[in-house]
Amino acid sequence: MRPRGAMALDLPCNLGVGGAVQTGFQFAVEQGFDRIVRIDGDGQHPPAEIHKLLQVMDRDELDLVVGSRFGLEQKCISTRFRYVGIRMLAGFLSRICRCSITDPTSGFWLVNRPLMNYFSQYYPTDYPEPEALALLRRQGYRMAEVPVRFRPRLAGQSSIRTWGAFYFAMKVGLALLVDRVRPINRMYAREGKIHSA
Amino acid sequence: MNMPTSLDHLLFFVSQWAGVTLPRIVAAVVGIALLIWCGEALWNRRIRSVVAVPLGVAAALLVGMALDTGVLHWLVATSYLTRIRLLMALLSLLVLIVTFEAIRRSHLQERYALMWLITGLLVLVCSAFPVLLAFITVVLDVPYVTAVVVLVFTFLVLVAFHFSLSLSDLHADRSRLAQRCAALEARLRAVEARLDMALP
Repeated sequence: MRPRGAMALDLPCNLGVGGAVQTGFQFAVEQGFDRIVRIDGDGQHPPAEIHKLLQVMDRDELDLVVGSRFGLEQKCISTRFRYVGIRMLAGFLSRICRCSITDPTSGFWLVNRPLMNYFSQYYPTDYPEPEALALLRRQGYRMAEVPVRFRPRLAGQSSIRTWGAFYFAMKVGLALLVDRVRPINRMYAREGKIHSA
Repeated sequence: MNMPTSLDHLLFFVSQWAGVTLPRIVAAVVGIALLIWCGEALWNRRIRSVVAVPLGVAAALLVGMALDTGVLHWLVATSYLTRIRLLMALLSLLVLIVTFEAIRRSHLQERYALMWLITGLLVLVCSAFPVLLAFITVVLDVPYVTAVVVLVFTFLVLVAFHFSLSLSDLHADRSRLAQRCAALEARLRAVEARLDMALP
């Protein structure tokens, strides 16, 4: 990536997707950025639709806007098994977070500065997106989803293969369950409103 | 069993005393005092609820047993198998509660907690339904206790092996971090030397 002019943070060891994204958040906080957009390297997230996320964030004063692959009548999930699993997780998360979530594992995120501060300290490892959504709601941050047209995957494989699905279900289920009873971290909660969701 | 074991002696001794009034009064008073102390400490947040609830339940059981010694007599009259199952259930509940608290307070990551939770749940289920261990007890012709020990030992070996794998992984990460650190320091010193030469 460096030959094309992009700055790359080279981690000396493999921290997984959670650790890598958290490194990005820490770098953004240090450099003083206001907002950060996360785009995965497999080509699925369309940079052309970032303005949609920015519009929604400005309009509703949110801390996080998620680009969802559902809602524009397209099916990008490879197997029916994963499709059903993601729909179940989306329903469960919608109930916990009390807002409509259709794509819990989407990585196409636009994040505000206060939320960047929180994530640079506490970000889950191993399939972080669903757990991060539940955590940020608990700390009082506001989020919304925007339907976005995803592109087909250019390179790489999904991180959830056959047996990974069971580990994913177990890990996310346990994490969501425990996060319901975890103490709220007052230092990183959104000022003005703590959601005891 | 033909010869009475020391446990039988102890339970017989306790059951004899349990019929007499004075120990019952003492036990009831101790139980009520413990219950009151638990409630007050929990109210003033001096102890956490995860400690207070089991203590409170134990105190309530003590009071209950003092008021109605039927429970104690029933405990003495149970079979060896039932006592073992009760002990296994209590121990596995303890493991599950401690593991869950550790995850909740972020002392333990979920991927390491998984093995402990599986072990705890499996032993709990096997103590509730001993028929599940029929494969080991019938095929290998060993008593129930040995089957439980086999189960727990297997999982302990798996947990230990998982730890060894994690340790090797962390060791490799540590080497890479140390090497990167050394390289960065060398580059930093070179840059500082160049700066010193450029701006005296």
